[in-house]
Amino acid sequence: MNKLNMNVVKSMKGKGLAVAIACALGAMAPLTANAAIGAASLFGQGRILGTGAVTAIDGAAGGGINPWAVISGYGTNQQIGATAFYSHVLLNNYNMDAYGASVGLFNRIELSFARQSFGLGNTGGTLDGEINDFAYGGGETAAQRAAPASAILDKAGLTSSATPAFFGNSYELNQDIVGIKARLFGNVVYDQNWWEPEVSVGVDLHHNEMPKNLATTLHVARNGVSYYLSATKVWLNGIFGLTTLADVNIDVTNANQQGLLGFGGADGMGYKVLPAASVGVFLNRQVVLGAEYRDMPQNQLIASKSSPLAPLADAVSKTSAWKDVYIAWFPYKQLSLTAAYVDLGTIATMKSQNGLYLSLTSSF
Amino acid sequence: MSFIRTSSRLSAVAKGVALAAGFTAVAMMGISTASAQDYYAQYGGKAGITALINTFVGNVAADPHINYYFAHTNIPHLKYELVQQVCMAVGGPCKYTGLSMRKAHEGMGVTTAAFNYLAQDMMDAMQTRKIPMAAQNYLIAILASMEPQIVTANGPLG
Ligand code: HEM
Ligand code: HEM
Repeated sequence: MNKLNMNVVKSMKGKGLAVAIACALGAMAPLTANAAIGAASLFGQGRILGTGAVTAIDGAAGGGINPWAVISGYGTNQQIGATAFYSHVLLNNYNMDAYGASVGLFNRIELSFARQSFGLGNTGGTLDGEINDFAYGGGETAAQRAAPASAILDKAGLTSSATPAFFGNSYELNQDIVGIKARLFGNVVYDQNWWEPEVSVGVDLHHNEMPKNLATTLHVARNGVSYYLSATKVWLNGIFGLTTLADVNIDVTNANQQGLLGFGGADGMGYKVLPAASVGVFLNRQVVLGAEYRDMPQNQLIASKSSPLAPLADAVSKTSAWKDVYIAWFPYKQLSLTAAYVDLGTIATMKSQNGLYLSLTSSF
Repeated sequence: MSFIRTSSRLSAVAKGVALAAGFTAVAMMGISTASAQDYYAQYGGKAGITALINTFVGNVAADPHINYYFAHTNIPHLKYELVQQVCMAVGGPCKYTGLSMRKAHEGMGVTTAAFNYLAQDMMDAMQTRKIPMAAQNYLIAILASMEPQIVTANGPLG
């Protein structure tokens, strides 16, 4: 840089400073007034597009199946944000609806609620038939066919006063999830010069509405609490210069298929410490492409490993990790749309539960 | 990540996830990122950066979320400093001689929201000027890391 240029810099800087000082003294009133305007936009959306993420199936801000460390909505440390979501999952033998809402407080605390309905469709009837076939080797009477659950109880040498009805057609497993997430430290956008991720802890309180007799038959609890630690890192200038996200979670949970089949099993409460991970690449400022993985605990449903019913119990208990490949679109802060191909593996004896996941989140 | 690698139920998708995470690590190590010098050219040199800053300051002036911060600012001077700063950041032959970011924004009570709206105005300006995405992200990452020096307004929970 030559001398002339340096002088220009100096003189410009001098002038700028003089003006700044003059104004700083004289303009206290308007500045204070404006600061008040800034602070008053309590329900503003001051975060960067995309940083509110989309809504995971449990109602927390995250990807499709994993919560992430970010707080829902677009509220900054001085703002309160909120979201509402609806998701639909079409699997080979089942379908699932989920909807809910969340509030993000000062980019620190997230409170969420989600209601999930897992529809068995006519797979419920098929399941009843399978259970029956197992219990009676195919030679059941009409009355026994109508009450396969009691047949299982009989076979296991258990007594039941009531005659529990099993699934039948169009059965729905419903659960409500209340989630609390707290950001511990870090910021996905501003921590660019070092490795530190944004880290949050979360607690999900589940209440499954399955009837008591079904819970008894499955040997599961209807209420459960699961915990997670989530670390989310974003490199604005990541892979190929594109904004890149990686999330690693540690789940502490005993939720069978995320609680849709209750909690724990015949061999105890079965809390497991399990890994989950998500990745994403922002193709531009609005579209992110990624994949997710979430391990699931496998508890022994219906009967203990040592029971004569173990073969059936094993089949029903079989659980796979959940996976998906997703694309999310953030046309503006108020709306995000996500489409995914999900693979939930085996659910209640039905293999290859994969299909389409569609989700919409709106932010306020 | 080692607990993912050792999981016995590692599926194809999980491998994909692990692979992508691995790629990210590689990207972090700088193997796939262009050098700052290339970015200076992608910004169109000094002329391109000057045009970008003009568009950017225009966006800021039109942005009701933050323009009041600049009501008493010497705009030509601010533009000059910003051009120098961006030019230097993207590897151009310039030297920023203005105030430190902490000093320049001291006492303004800049909020996180204001910072983000300003960042958005910059991203929009880059889009208007058709700067390639990787070159945009290179600068945005540098600007983002300046947040602790610029934002001084706290919220009720930090
Ligand atoms: C030191 C003496 C000064 C005092 C006491 C003063 C005070 C004020 C006040 C009370 C306002 C209204 C604020 C509002 O509506 O938000 C204002 C607006 C403004 N002042 Fe000053 N000012 C001073 C110097 C300057 C200087 C030197 C400049 C030019 C570099 C300037 C440029 C402006 C502009 C452009 C506005 C309009 C901002 C807008 O409408 O958003 N002022 N000033
Ligand atoms: C990464 C983000 C930012 C960068 C790189 C940046 C850079 C700069 C630079 C280089 C200057 C000139 C310093 C000098 O005079 O020597 C400046 C001044 C200024 N900045 Fe920023 N800034 C940023 C964010 C913000 C934000 C978020 C606000 C408020 C909304 C803000 C408000 C101002 C104001 C009002 C001045 C003028 C001070 C004066 O009158 O002299 N800046 N900034």
